[in-house]
Amino acid sequence: MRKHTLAAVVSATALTLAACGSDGADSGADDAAAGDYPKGPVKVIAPADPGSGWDLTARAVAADLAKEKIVTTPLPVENKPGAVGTVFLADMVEQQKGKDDVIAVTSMAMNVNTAMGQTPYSYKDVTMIAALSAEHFIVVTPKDSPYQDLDSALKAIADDPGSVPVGAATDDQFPFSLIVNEAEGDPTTINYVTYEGGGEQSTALLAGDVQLAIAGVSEFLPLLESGELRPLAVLAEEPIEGLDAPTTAELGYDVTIANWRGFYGPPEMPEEAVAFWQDAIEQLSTSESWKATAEKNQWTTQFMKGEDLTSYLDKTQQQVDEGYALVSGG
Amino acid sequence: MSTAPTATTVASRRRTERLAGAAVAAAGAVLLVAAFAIPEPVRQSPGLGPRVLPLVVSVGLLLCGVLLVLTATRRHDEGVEEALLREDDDAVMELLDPDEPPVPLRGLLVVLALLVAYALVFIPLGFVLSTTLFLGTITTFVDPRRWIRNWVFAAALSGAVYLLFTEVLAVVLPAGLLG
Amino acid sequence: MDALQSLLTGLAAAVTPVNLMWVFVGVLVGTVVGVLPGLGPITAIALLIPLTFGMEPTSGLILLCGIYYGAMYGGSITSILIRTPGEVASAVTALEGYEMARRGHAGPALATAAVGSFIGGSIAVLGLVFLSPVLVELATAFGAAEYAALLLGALLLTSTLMTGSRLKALVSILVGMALGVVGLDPQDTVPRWTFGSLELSDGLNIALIAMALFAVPEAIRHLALRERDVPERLSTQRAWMSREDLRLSAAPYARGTLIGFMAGLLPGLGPTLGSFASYAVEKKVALPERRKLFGRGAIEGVAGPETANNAGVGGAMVPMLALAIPGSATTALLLFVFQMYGLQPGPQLFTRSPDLVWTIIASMVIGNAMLLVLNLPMVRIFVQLLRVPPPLLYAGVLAFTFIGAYALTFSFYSLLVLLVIGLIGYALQETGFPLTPAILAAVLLPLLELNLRRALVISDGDWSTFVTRPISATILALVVAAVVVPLLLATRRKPAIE
Repeated sequence: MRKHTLAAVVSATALTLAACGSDGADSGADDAAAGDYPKGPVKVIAPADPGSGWDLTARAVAADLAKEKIVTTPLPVENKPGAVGTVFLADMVEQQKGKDDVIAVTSMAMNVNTAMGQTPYSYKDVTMIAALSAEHFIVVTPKDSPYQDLDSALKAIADDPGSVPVGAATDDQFPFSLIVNEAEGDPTTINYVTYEGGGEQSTALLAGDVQLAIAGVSEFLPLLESGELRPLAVLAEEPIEGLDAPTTAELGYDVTIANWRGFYGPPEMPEEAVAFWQDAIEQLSTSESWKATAEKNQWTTQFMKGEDLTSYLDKTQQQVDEGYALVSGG
Repeated sequence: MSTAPTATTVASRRRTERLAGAAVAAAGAVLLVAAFAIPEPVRQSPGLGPRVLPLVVSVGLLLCGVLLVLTATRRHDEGVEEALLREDDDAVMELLDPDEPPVPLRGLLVVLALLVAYALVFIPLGFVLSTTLFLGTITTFVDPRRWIRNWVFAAALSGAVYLLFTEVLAVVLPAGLLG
Repeated sequence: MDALQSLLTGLAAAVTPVNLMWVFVGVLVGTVVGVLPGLGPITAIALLIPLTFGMEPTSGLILLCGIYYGAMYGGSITSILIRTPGEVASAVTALEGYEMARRGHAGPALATAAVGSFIGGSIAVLGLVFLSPVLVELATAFGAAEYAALLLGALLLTSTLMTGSRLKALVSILVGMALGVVGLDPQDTVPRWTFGSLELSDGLNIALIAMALFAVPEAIRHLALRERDVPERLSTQRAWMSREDLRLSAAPYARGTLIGFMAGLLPGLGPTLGSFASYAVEKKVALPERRKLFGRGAIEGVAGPETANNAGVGGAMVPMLALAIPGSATTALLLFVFQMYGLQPGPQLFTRSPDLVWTIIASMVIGNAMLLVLNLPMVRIFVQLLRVPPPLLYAGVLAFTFIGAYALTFSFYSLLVLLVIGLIGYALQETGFPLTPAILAAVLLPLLELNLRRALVISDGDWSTFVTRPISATILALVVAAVVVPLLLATRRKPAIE
């Protein structure tokens, strides 16, 4: 068995969580989905470059929907990159209103863009269809670092923030600021080094440039497994099995924000189409093809729709807004 | 095979140089103003801020542009012999390079107009139509006698490339009116 | 030798008729896609990943590796023949390669590129196999301060080698820098020179800049001159390298392999730095009478960078396989592909799934050899492209740059960028500004700024970090010795330069 089991366990845990979360919203959509929608091809937009996370999600979902025969009309995937998806978000709001033949991939970056004012639009301006997966954040340190636990790292930051550079992508700085804030530190003084992703962060951690970094769990998995990196905390309510890391909940920090990933459609998308896609993505989330895809890619399945999704997005947006306010000292 | 430049080419070359210098300086000035418009980051990182490099670049362009204008006004143009005397190999080689004839203004304007038109109709008309029109017109402008060959080439290349990209490579090119 | 044994076992496993067929298909498809402007290795792999769903892991990986190598080489074909680089690394090849083609030496240029790619690619794989453990240490010894010192050296080295008017070369560098600045600030995430455009906040795509500065001005010029027939000097192209060409290429192959491989080891710099550095080194070490030919079709300037380019791929595999750290967008995608097939790169890769790993490594060797076998005979055919009548050729080049640009964002925006930068490039070229320094600065300067500022953030604003860290201090000392001192000496000897 060469496949590491961690990702599988992660998805299993999240599936249980998702099942608990979406109990109330399961009925209702079925009648609408029985109609003759979709009549023609539906474009699946990846608002990023080929090979990026959104692109790979869009292509995998389109392929699995076809393979499982959940959707039988063609699903051409198109790339519309631009400013972390905000270019296409604007296009969706301004040009595609009321259409039923286009959906797009999105993620927590949408909340961040809105918080930072990179776009005048938010998830409230489009039709949010469903969330399909989520990835927890993790705080890591090199194996020989002086920080034995999250608290000692946070204390070092409180004592002399300048001397403790923290490696994080722009989007991932918010969750960390929230933790520092809960630890009664001053988030405006954190010395963030901006990296583009896990690869750059891993290089910096191993080279000793930074002693602390935060990113999605999958970004650090290989080096966590080999012991080159040590986990200080996973930002989650429940521990992740197979990964010997304390959760923020255990450590007493109420910061459990996660990077969700899902789909949205144009504003005023016809109800029939919305119901169809909610249903299709829900079916997909439990299908064998998707389970295999998710496991291969270390994606954690976490299906949400309707009210659950709305309240989840509201909470995430609130946390991100709060994180941004902390960083900017506003 | 290059000959020493005549008085008129020297004068026109200097004019071009001055013009180029002025354009560079103007670009530098615009960018300098834009560099001051770069917003302060919400959180100040230690070290260099986001404005330093843009300031260096725009001031650099401004100064270089002014210098270009000045040197074009003062410097006298030289022939191969003078460059040889100076033992400046680069200058000699440059002067001896294959003759690059000057581009006629009319030809340039036609090509540029066609390029801009091509960009404007690329999406509305779709790839096949716009590209056939662009290739056919521009090749026939260059070589009007072989217009049949030109238009066959234009249609064939556009069609073949469209099929290659959309059918084989799954790159979606605009379908436009034919879509 | 454990590694040797394993490699041979891997070779045995990879050399099955089916796998050989996949390598062949991969290399062929890769070359074709790489030839199309704007479609580099990343797009090629991303587009073809769905095709490999449902294939056996070994075959799928072999196919994609073949595509990678093929696309890398395909990019250099158009660079040489029509000065249309499909990606940044082959922009360097265009410098001398296109000049060679203009002088009737397209054949030798293509051939030396193919041979160099093979040598660089194969030796790098051997380096990957036998030296990985040592090299991993090296790759992780470099922090932001060291990267900054290295990039400063590379930038100074290449910019001291410019010919012609220093002032004009400097303007060109500044133009390149300006293009590189546009976009969101990499450390503080504020928009710089985006003039309120959301699209510009992504920055200008470097492949788009290369196409706009190299291909567009040249095409505009030839079309505006209304050239109807193939000029005399282009109609007879030598198809093969002479003994002299091979002799001149030999040392650049060796240096290119070393430079490319070492640069490839450093995540984030990858093949780009390697090929630029190799070009600079070749020009620097050339004998005075050969150095004059740089910029006018020096075969060393094709052989070195092309070798370095492919050796860099092997180098980038070291941190990717051993640490799961991708050094570039392309290796990030390969990493994803590996994971898709259930292969988790990282320190435990070789113990966890040895068979598959060794088969892949073996297939890289095979892919390189296949590329050579496939492309050497094709050189004759590729060269025929230059016999296409100029109006058709250059109009076609423009159409292809439009496709390449469009395929980046699928919107009017990148067509606009292509036109605007293309016109700037044309104006610069016609008024005697060299364009190479602009490309160079547009590639290297953003990397230098990023690492310089990162190093300063990490040291909390303390500039002494560059001289107190031993590796960084050593690099800086070397830079001073190799670049600054000769420059000062030269200035003293020849006070009147401009």
